[in-house]
Amino acid sequence: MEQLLGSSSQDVLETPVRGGPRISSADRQSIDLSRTIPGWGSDLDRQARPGVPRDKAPEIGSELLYPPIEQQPPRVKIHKSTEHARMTPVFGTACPPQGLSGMLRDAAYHFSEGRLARWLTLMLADRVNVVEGIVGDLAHGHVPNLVKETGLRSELRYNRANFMKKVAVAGVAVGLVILYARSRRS
Amino acid sequence: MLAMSYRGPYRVRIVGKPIPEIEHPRDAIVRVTRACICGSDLHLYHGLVPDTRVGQTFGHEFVGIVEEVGSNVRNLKPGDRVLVPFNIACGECYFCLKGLFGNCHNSNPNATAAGGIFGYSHTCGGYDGGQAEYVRVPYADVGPYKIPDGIDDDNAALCTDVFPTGYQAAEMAGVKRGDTVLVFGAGPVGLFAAKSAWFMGAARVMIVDEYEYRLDFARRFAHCETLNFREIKDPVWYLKKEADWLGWDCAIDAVGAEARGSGLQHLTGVKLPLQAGAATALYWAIDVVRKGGVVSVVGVYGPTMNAVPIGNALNKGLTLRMNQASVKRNLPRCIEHIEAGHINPKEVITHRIPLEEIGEGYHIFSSKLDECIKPVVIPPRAMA
Repeated sequence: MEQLLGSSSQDVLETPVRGGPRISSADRQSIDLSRTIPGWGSDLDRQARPGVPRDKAPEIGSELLYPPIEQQPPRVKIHKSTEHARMTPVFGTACPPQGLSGMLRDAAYHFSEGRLARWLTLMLADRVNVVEGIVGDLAHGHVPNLVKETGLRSELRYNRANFMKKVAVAGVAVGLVILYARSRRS
Repeated sequence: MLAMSYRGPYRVRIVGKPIPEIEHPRDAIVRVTRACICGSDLHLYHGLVPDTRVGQTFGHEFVGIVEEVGSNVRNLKPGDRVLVPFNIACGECYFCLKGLFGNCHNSNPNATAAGGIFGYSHTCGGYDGGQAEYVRVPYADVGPYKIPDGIDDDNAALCTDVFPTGYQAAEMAGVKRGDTVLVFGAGPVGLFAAKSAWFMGAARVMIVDEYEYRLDFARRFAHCETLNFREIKDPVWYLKKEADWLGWDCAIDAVGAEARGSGLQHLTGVKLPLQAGAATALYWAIDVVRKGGVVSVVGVYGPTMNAVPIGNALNKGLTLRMNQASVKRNLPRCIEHIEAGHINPKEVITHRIPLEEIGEGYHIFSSKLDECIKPVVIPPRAMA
């Protein structure tokens, strides 16, 4: 077993699916792999692990949900969960809500976290926000470079066959749409 | 400054943003030298996390140099080299005082279901992340950890999330001497969970995945057995048989919301928002662990609901443990393991990508191209 569990690439298992070391559970209790696996057993002492005790007991009286921490001044609109008793002292200020997606997010945050409506409304807002992003780009004279944004060049470099398949499928789809449009016109 | 900007599912680009400013006396501004793309970033990238806004900068795994500190930050000074845990934690609330830094109650106004996380949607606090040249670090007197001289930036970057998360996965699984441990997912977290299971005295560790190149790496890096579930008609049956029909002592879900292996789970959890991700790995974990065993979950799921056989978990008397890793709590021990030579985390890094090419980085990682395991993003100033 020690050979099988060695660290060099020559020792790796021959096939992806095979039986593992067959030893009885009694034998497993006395197992020692420290000579073959670096660091094996170095954290055997469960009491010395960082997660023990699971909940460290704080000093009595210090268990405040909202300790007195200086409040960050809100420079932009921040949404607060209805399940928070107060605004948290610190928050992120990236991408404040705006437009139709912002209105949807405003509505979503009226629901508690236990309501599916909250999360589905947020996901709808996300999709609306994507359209707003494209419209905003075009309004500022920026045409999104979809090849760069989607990293498509790496598909061509590392997965050429799949790339060509996608191009062919897209070509056929566009061709069918053109044919359909022409037939409708005639 | 240059920063990654989310534009919609499967679309990201580099934009110019203002350098972040101190917004609270306990803030610091850090100049990023390394930022990783995490498997959980892919859930954002695929548009699966509610309240992911166009324009946000992702990135919760980063290290860098302190540029500026707020008036109440006494433990750091400009020029300090720091790694920044992905959790934003006040260090003073009910949860932080219990050591649950991943569950801080004072860093995320948007939800009580999650603590604040850098660059991880407004569901996790609406902070810009570290896939940029600079980043604002709140509660800088609590989270950032000065990197010891013997630890390079690559190893430090992997200590901001994936190594401590893998370690905590094994710890929550309660691995003890002689245990059999099954890990779902041969990504970085699964690999570190497998390594950590050995630290805790496991007798047998197996990793399950579908990508042969990852399983090959797992055999070399984590010294474990592997199973490609694509080669087995019924993976649960096979894994039970492998454990002499008893079941595994511990099972770790290091996959989360985008698991493969069940068409129904994938359809309802990934293609359609009918559940909060495909819970195939968790489903299998509950089934293959022995009665009275432990299932440890560090794979990330969304905030709604998932279809898992909770009745089986009840009838088998399982212990289910899960959490976002409390990085600050695990970090000292993880650093000790690196310094002792037990593990060299940076071996999992397969791609170093200039920040300007981040679109390709996301695509390569998302599509598992070029045998990608862990991509690291490097800002222009740190490339020199």
